[in-house]
Amino acid sequence: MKIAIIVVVFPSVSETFISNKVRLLCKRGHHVTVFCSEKRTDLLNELFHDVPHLRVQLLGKKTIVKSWLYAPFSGLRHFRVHKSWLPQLYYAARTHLLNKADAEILHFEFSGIATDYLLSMDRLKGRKIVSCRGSAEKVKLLAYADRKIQFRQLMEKVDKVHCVSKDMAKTITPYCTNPKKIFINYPSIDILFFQRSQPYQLHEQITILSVGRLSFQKGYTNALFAMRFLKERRIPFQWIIAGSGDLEEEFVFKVHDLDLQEQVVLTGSLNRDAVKQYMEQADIFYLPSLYEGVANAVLEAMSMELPVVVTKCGGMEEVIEHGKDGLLADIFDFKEHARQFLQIIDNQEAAIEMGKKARMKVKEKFNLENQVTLFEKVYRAFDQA
Amino acid sequence: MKIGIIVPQFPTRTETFFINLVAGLCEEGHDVIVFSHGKTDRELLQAFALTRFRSLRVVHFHFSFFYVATMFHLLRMPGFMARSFSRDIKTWRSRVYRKLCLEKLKAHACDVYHYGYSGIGIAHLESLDKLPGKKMVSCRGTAENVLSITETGRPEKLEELFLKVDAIHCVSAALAEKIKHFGASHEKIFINRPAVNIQFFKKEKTNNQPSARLQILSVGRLVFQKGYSIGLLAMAVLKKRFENFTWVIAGDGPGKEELIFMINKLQLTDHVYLAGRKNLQEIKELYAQADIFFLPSVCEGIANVVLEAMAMELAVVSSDCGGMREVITPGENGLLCENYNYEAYADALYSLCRDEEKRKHLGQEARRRIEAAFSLERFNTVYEQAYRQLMEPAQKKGVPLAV
Repeated sequence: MKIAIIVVVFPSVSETFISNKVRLLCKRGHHVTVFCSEKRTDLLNELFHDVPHLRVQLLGKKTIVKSWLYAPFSGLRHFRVHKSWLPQLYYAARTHLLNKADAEILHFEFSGIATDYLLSMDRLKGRKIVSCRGSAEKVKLLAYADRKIQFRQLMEKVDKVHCVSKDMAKTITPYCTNPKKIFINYPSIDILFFQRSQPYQLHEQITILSVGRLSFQKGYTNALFAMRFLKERRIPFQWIIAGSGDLEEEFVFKVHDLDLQEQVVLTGSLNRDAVKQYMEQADIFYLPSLYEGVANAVLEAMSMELPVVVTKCGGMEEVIEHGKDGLLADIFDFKEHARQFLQIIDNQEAAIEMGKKARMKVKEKFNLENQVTLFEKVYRAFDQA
Repeated sequence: MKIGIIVPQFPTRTETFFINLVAGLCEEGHDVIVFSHGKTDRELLQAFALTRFRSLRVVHFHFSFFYVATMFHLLRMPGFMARSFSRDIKTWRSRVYRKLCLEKLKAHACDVYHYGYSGIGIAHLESLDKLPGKKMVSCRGTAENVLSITETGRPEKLEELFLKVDAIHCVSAALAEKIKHFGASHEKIFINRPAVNIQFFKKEKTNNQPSARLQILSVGRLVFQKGYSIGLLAMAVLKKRFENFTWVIAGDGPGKEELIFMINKLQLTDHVYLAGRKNLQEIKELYAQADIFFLPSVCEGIANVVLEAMAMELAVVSSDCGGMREVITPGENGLLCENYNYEAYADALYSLCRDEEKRKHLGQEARRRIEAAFSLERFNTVYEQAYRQLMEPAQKKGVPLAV
């Protein structure tokens, strides 16, 4: 099959799930074209040098201008008279480039991107699928009224809607007139890569690890309260946060203000190998998020047999069975978070057991092969219809 | 005296500090030149009644490289253009920009150059030595509290700045203590707390029907320093004990999405209202309608909005941050809670929600406190005194100027 994947950055350091999916689809003999507005050539060479049938097409303003130079009238038949004619011209050229790939399936990996294509959606050839993964649906829809209207239109125009969790499906159902369009496919990770080299054991000084951008959705302020709670109880610990983002100023200030400089380490954003290295060393993985679709970092940590403490945010409750393969806590109850750390620290045996069960769970339900197979099935269903 | 005040933007809707200062100085008969990086909004100048002063001038640091005059000016100094040349066009441009700024500052020779924020002082760091008059810098809070931690190299720059200027103004004693860590010498520092126009911010008898719900009010930009997300956690706690309230937040800013999300998540949609940005008159009306003023900030110099609210006889619940303790005597003319402790905020709010007498009493005492210590007259006198002392080096130095 010819499949087009539409993203912003490719390959992205933090969104490995897209790279993984593309790689596997290619290996299974599909012809994949990735459309993006930013291409990381170095990463592309590193990750995809041995992958067949892959094409990466830039869709930035520069590419569009270039395409006009080569074929000035190529996109014009997609042009519609509209008062904002310049964007229309851009959309027309973009539509032309997308149609040229002649893909049967167009998969928009984020609903935010798909919203951007809303005006030219009808003129795109092929079946359209959009993925709902988190922020765009959980926050933007609340905050902006026009976004709601656009999202409703989007749900009308696409053929299938992919949700990363049941919770996400519940969130978007009010916007979707035909619930049959919605299907759930949990995210997945590469379990062969995220595998321990040494058996898990608790260290003298506890290392708590969090991976994720510094943005409000990750709930780090609340997490800092939990850390202060631990410090007041004189627990020797360290909290490592792998990530960067626009809230760095706020975060650094609060760390200082709550007098946690010695306990909190900010590493900046890390690549996959470094994350794995940190997970190998960590004692507890911690996700204090306010909302999530399904956090891939948690799946990775579970795959690394770490005991995880996760807030009850969106899809995470579907991943973790409390007490068995991880611990769940109320979002804003930082004291409960801290108590769960203590529970893990106090009982190494239980932590090891939890880690093992976690890996089993991921292996069973969240591995890459399953996910891609399910996507393939959805793609093929169009063919038969 | 001829006084130059250097600010990023003048006048601004929310920053009454410099407007008070400029008006006070002009009334005393001084020449005031405001150097502003941004463009001036004429309507705002009129709204704040600043156009009545003949002795006020606003000068812009605004140069376009397409202006013939600027080009001609630059061509007349080939030496500088060659020396400053850098292959990175941005570096070159910023060097030329700074040079042009310096020329403008020099062209309007002032007795005292007053940098409105330490940040803007740092931006002009290189040109400080080249200016003829005395230099003064104001420390207002954010730049010293937050940036000194989060921005690498900032503490060193602050140190250099404090070394070069002749006087350092702090808005609170807490801040004065803080900047001593950055090498600010004791003799240079003076404290002048902000002031509020007590004639304008005065409770008036209104025929307003008291609203069915108790109104809690906060005013300030939606940024993390204001601590609204922590305030929301307090509201969630409060709601469990007391249903009949509304929290109105007047202000806009980058933190809006976070707040909207949290309001939904904490099921406070019926209790919290984001009112957006308001002008002075609208804010006054909000004060008049409110029952309690709430400041959950994590860091402040001294929050002007609290002074205004107190002048409007509102009972204030504030976090114990920055210089707020210098304004509020807990239990007497307002309530102070431990910073970040949202359960304590909820307790304090609850106690006021249930006790109308206490609200009234705190409000009256608050007004008294503002009249006694935060009037414009005092504010302007301290500044004038500070300027004068700079101009008379013969006078004995080291006399504390503070209130």
